[in-house]
Amino acid sequence: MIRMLIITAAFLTVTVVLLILQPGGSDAPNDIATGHVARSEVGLLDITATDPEPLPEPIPEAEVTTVQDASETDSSLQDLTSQVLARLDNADLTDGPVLLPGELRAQIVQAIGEDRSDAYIEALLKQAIELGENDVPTALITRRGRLDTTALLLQLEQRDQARAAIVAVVPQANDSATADRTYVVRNGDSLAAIARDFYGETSAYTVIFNANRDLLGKPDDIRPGQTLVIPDL
Amino acid sequence: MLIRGLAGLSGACFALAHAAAAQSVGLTEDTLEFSATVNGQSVVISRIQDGENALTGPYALTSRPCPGSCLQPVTAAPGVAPAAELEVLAFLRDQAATGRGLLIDTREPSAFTTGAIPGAVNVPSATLEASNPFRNEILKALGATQDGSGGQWDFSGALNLLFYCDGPWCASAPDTVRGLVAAGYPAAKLSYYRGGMQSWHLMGLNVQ
Repeated sequence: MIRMLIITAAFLTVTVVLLILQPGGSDAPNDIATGHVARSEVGLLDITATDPEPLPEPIPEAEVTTVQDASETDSSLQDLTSQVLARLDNADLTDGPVLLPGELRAQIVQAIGEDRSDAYIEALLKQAIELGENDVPTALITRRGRLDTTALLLQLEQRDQARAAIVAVVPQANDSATADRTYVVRNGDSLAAIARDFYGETSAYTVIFNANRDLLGKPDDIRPGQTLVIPDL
Repeated sequence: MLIRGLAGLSGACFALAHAAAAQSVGLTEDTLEFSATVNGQSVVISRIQDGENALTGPYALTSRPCPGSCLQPVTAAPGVAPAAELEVLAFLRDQAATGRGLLIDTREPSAFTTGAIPGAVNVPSATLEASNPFRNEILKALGATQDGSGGQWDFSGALNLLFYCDGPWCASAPDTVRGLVAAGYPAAKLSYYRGGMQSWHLMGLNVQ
């Protein structure tokens, strides 16, 4: 019985001490009665409030696109993209035709990402032609034209075999020829690629560049959505 | 008297624990387990059966710093349907399993591999941003088509997509949804699971 009394007394003492001290209670009361809503610890507004202890590492997020060397970003994006394409191709979808055309493109993109030999990529391009794909992967050429793929394409073009491949893959200029031609820049375009589409040779990009000096500070300044004048040669 | 009291108390605790263990933890009143075949793989989803289980680790955190990890709205963009766990399951059954849709996890691959919703495909948000020069390839793989000359996109054959990321404080999924809407992807084909991995874990649902 005495033990019970001692325990009760100890309990009361602790309760009274807690009531007096009220740890954490006086600084930021969550005043529910007045309808005040705030998140505990990390303030919505008061960001300068002292932080009692460092927060644990946040879970990694995809949006960590800190501006590194731009080409590094591009090639890692390219890797990520080809991985995604491979995954999407693996997705066994009943609307098969939706994904099938992308398969070779994905392989080519991946091959370039993996630094495979020209011959290997050439073989993939040939395969694409045999299967009747008439759309060269835009991912081969970046807007900035900085990727090795551009150089690769140029090299390929200089070879007869590969030239045949590229010519067959890229729609020819006369397809869309009109008297006063313009072209709306798409994501992934480069001036060299546009020049090749319209004139059949990448070196003609200077013609397009000169005709659009008012828009372009540099040849690699093009942005999706811009309307470029394509002069007749 | 004290000892008898304590014994009585612990007896009551034991009885409670026993009752909790005997109860099943279902998905709904009449469903204990969900199964479907998605992308050729069998997907089975159920909840942790331990009634005493509680979250620990990163998903137990309440106060991630904001700016950085700020609260997201349940509607990512006008016309984009919000989804919770049961809608995710319905989407897997009606869309993903029938080849008409994809459940997309927008986290980085490293986060995806630590555990994702079964049946989800990892498409990191960076790859769907307008700044990715290769985004068109992904849009095509998602079923969008582009006319040969001008870049006009046709999304009529595009897949239905349900997006999620780490939790209600994670912006990458809703940002991606908004980016797609800006690119012309029909909002009616998009939905967003705001709860994400944190809610999924909190409900005791299994991951792949």
